Amino acid sequence: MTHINKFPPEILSHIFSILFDLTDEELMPTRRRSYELLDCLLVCRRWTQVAGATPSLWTTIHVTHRSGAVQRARSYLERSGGLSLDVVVAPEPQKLQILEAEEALQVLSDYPTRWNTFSTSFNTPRMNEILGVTLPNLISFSDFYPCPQPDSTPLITLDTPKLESCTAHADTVFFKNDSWPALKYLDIQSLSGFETWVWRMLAASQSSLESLVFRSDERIWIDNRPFEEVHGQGTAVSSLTGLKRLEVHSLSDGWWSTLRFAAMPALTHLTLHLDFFPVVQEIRHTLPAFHSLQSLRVHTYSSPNVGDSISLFLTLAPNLTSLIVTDKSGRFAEREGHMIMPLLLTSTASPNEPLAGRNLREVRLLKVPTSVQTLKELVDLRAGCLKKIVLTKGWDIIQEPRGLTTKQDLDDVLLVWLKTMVVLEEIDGEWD
Amino acid sequence: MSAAPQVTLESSDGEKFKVDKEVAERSVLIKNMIEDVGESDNPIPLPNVNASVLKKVLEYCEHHRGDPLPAADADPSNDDNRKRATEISDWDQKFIQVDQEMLFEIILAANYMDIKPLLDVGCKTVANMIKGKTPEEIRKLFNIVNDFTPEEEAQIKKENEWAEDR
Repeated sequence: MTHINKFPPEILSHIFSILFDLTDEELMPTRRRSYELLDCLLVCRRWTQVAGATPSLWTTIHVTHRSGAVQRARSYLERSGGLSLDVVVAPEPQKLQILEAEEALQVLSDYPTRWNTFSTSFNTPRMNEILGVTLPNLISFSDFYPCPQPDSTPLITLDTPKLESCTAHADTVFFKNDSWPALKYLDIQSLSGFETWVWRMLAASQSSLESLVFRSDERIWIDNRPFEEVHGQGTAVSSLTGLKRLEVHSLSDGWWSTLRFAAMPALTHLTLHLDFFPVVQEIRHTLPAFHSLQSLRVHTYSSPNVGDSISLFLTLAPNLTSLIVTDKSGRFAEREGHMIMPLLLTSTASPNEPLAGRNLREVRLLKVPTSVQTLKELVDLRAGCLKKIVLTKGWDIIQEPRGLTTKQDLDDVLLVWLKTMVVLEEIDGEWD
Repeated sequence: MSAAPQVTLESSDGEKFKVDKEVAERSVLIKNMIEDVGESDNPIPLPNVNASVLKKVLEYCEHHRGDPLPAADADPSNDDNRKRATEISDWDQKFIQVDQEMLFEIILAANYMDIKPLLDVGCKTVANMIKGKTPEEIRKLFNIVNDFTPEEEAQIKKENEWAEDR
């Protein structure tokens, strides 16, 4: 009988490496990896020896509240050979033994060229001093601070010229380098618009950036003043030529200025998580056309301004193929039409005006109250183009056809109708 | 149209398999042997692979005969290669649904014959079997004896206790 321990060390080592790679797509992969490592180490002596001699298993270094952080950092540095390191600081900061953690970081900072990714949920008092070196090969930085962010959180300054991915709070990190030629993904939280490093970073990565996420958790937002200040410093952002995805999270109705701060000729996906929409007349003549836009996702509360804004986007983005609208109002919003009626507006407009959203292939109405009649118009006007409608839980039929008494009857009739009126590749739905 | 060139492989238990050269050369070992000794009518001996395993390995090679060959210098410990694809295709998944004995034999044969994609499929399958299991469950699965002393086990846990915050 062939036994797994008849495998030569290189095969067992290969299996361990794959085991770690398998966790890449899961939640908290670095943490999951450490569990897998411990489980393998505890199987038998041979597995411990083979795992200990497999450098790729020792590249993720957790600096946690547990004692032994310094010794562990040294051990991992040695066992990982010359491979790049993924450094993770303190998932449980309230218990962190700060001094020991800082000493461990100091040990790791002696090998700045080996830092590949760095994620932290806690800035120690001396972290800024310890990380005062250039991390020339760091490709990813993420902070995962608890929310709300403690006021005492020290600012850390990083020098990371090869950064490709950055997920950061705007007010707890500062990047001192002026060049990010490789930056592709930028996700900024707690953004007010006044953070000059963000504008410098954007200005320096205008051709490389592919995905941008702005998150503002306060009722302040970018306005003309910081733009002028930034322009005055020679860090103007004029065109994000490679940007394909933009996501905006805001409580403010000034978010729309984000959409005009730079040209985004390649933008294909726009996601708006917003609490308020401005009156459309205020923005109608300031927004550029989004000729490349294929997908618009709106997650907001139902209001007349929302409908008008969606309608405006449909005219600014003639090539839009996918529209996803989620109504956060839930069942309290009895009024039908704010979200969906704009799709129909041009059906009653001048015959010379093209149908808004005429190229839509997919419409998802998530918790959006919609009448049967509205759905019929939506589908009729785009017959031959629209191929997919998804309605999810919370969707209500408001206008009930006569002669039907139960909710199930209505659902069945509607499904039959949709399937016979248009050729839909898929219709999906959930009902109470 | 001339027939595709063929070679004969001989398993450890003496069974001979005549296959297309293109199929046999999915094995870097065989490819190198053919290049070294030139084409010959003599069977190529594979003393570490028995007939039932060789038949299975050749089934894999036949199915993948047109696939691009992996880079010869691909180092699994290299940073770039660490992010290797971890998915197994549907056909490969079905192919590798064998008992544990055959799975291990296929892995050993793929390693000996230097068929990297097959080795990966086998190792991924074993890794998936290990994933999420406790040390005791892994021992039971593979019939491994726990040869640690209680002190050794305690020491490993102590050195890695930070990872126990699950």
